[in-house]
Amino acid sequence: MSPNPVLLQVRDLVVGFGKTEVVHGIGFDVAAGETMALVGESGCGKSLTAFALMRLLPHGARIFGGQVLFQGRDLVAAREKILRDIRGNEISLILQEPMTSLNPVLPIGLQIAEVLLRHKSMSRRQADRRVLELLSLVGIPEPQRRAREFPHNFSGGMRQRVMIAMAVACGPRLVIADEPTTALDVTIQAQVLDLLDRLRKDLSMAVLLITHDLGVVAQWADRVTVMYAGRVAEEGPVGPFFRQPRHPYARGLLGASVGDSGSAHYTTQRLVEIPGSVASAAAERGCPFAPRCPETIAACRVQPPRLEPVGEMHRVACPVEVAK
Amino acid sequence: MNDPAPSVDTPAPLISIRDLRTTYAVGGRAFHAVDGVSFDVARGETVGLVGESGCGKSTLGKTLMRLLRPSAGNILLDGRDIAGLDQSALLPLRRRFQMVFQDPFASLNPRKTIGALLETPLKVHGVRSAAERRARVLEIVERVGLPASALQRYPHEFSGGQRQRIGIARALVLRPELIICDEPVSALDLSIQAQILNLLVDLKRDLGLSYLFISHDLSVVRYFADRVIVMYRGRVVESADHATLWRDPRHPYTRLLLAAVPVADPGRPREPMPPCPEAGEPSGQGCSFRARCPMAQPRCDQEAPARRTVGPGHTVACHFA
Repeated sequence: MSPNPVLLQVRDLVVGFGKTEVVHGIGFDVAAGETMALVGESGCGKSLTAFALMRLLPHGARIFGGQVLFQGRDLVAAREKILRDIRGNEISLILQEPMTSLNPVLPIGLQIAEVLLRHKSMSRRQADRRVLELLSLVGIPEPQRRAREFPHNFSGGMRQRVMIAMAVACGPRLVIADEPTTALDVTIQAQVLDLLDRLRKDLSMAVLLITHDLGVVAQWADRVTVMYAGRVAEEGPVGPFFRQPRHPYARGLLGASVGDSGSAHYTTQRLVEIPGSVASAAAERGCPFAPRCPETIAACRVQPPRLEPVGEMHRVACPVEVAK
Repeated sequence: MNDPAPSVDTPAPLISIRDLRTTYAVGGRAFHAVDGVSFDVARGETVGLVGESGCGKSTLGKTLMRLLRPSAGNILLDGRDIAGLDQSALLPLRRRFQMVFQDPFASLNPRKTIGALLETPLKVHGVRSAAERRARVLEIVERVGLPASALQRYPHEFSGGQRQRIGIARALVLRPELIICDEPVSALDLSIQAQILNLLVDLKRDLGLSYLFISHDLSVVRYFADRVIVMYRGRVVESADHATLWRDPRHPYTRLLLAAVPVADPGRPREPMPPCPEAGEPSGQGCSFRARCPMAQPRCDQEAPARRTVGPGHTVACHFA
């Protein structure tokens, strides 16, 4: 895999609601210090996967099976107490809407200090001092004054900086960021992702970046894992992936993306459509993409294809592509 | 502000906006969400309206639809000012301009079949013959790529992309000339966005429609618009045809926006974003962008820049661009 040691290994992870599987046995690795992007459209199971990694599933959801090995320890089997020591400390989470993840009636400085007091043996005074350092680190001006303010006093971009300060407070090995900039304006998005990237390097942590935006993947990730209907369709380093995406779904996404076509204009070029919708995957015994795929062969309809190598660190779950 | 009319090669605009202002009362004070905006939409033209959240682009769309009443300025539809008309005088004109919303589910009554939803505008606009109404509904449903059986079903039975097709069908059933699209593909997955954009292109070509296409997504606007208007804090900061805007953006805000869009090409180096002072709202006379502007000068504090022409059909509101 990557030159760096593997930090997180997900193996055959199955997650769902009640008796219904939503994530069908997915696997991927995150190496120490890298940014790995998990991409897919709404409902593909990428967020459910992210929450399952920390066993923070929404009500009614559960892990059916599989392993989440973090620094060699299986978090699926671990006792709750161990998870509580890991969450916010060695693995932390940044969500799309910081307003709902921050307590609206507590000053933000206090909320960041809480994380430090829970996980680090620090006095209150030390924690308060560290909070000011963290606020400067994430580029919040006048940290002394801002630490005493409440979440509603901050703009969306600044709130996300507060969330990042909280996420990196304990020096985590892994930050899971679930659509961290989807609610932000495009200029603010670039600033927030640049900040996260700088901290990743400076604090040598890995980032698992969950996004639907291929532009974000290309600009900020080292490797990418594409999910479709609860399975991994393709994974690889961003260079080879964007140069030559192998899965027909990934190719369709890049073709459908107006941003990718650069200077394309409706007067000269029609957008490539992926026909149908993801709903067709539910009834499919074979490859979940087969009902929408332009290149289906008989083998596609028998069973879901396995991930197989097509290049260095580049794997695709498509028998047609593998045979090429 | 007397803005130059941006039309170059388009003699008779379908709709002309002049010095339009829409005002909300915020905490007892007047806030101009749209603050002296002027532009034209020509027949058969797609005008893209871009800007970040809160810049006033959606308010502008609603004001053009006369869902909001402007506090100043003119909206000329074929030369006739509709800015001050009351609802009964507006009704006969409404069929000529219709709107497509971001979230089609929120704008479709869940208790009505698609057939009933599409027939209502025809009833309101006095199509008396039931047979004619049925024929027009059937025609439009097929035109947007849905089966005739859709007419008996309810909104919740459709996916997001299909619902947006229904929203487009409802806007089209009155055979309008102008469609105001407010973030029509923003709620849709990428693979569905392409389907809807291609549909809008086909409809424009076949029916000779004009679009005002409001979006925060610059990549979509670049693909879809003939001409682009960039708004910042209620004002137009730049307008140009799509090729010129991307080749030669003049306003520092436009440049910032274009540089911020992540491109799906890992080989392309990213321009570093200048820091954005978490703005105390700059108040008073000056340019509203000056707090974030890398080239701000003392003059920018004193004087709001007027739009001036810098090339054919290209205007910019900046003292120094």
